[in-house]
Amino acid sequence: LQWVIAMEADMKNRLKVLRAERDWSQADLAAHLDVSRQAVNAIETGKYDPSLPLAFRIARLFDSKIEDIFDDTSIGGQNV
Amino acid sequence: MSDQKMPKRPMSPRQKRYWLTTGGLGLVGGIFGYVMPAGKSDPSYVLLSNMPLSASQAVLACLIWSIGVGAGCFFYHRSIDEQEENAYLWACTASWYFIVFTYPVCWILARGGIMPTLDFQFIFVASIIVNGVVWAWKKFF
Repeated sequence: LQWVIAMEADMKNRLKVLRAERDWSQADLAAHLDVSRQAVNAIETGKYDPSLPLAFRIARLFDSKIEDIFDDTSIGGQNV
Repeated sequence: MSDQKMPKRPMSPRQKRYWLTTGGLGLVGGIFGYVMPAGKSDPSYVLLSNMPLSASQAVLACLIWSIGVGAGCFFYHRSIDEQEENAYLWACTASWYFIVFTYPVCWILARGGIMPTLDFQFIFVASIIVNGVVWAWKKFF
């Protein structure tokens, strides 16, 4: 089971912090993004990495760049 | 972008489609469960056994299942978000591999006289359970 879980990327992100700064619940953020609350929770906890279109929606919502919210260094990402 | 806590909002069109589809699929299941055992003394036995049905009952049940579930799935996939779609894909992969490994193993073992011949209905129901468990795991945990 651990092997199956490890197949999925565990990318860190600042979504929870950004949401807390606005005093939004997960349901509030989910409504902004038109996804389920479970989706927001899964992204925040790193259990699900959003698609590129959803990542752009998140970035635009918080007036940030994608790389300012999502950090892929924990899965080996690096600047080229 | 607002700094205020958002008030309770109405459901988005996607959420409305989602709950309508979920309710519709539940209704199809209810009608199917009603049509199949109609007129029989033990409904649960009729649903899960191989006992004969009348031709009209069989045709009606197949139409309800194929058209109702087919339409429901069409709208379901248009209304779920990408995280649930991901959960669904994991669930389908798991249930597919469950069938791919379980059915041939049971079939060969039955031919070898090691175990009794397995009713395919068992594999079908078990694969649905595997699908549901993996879907719930990926969506909620």
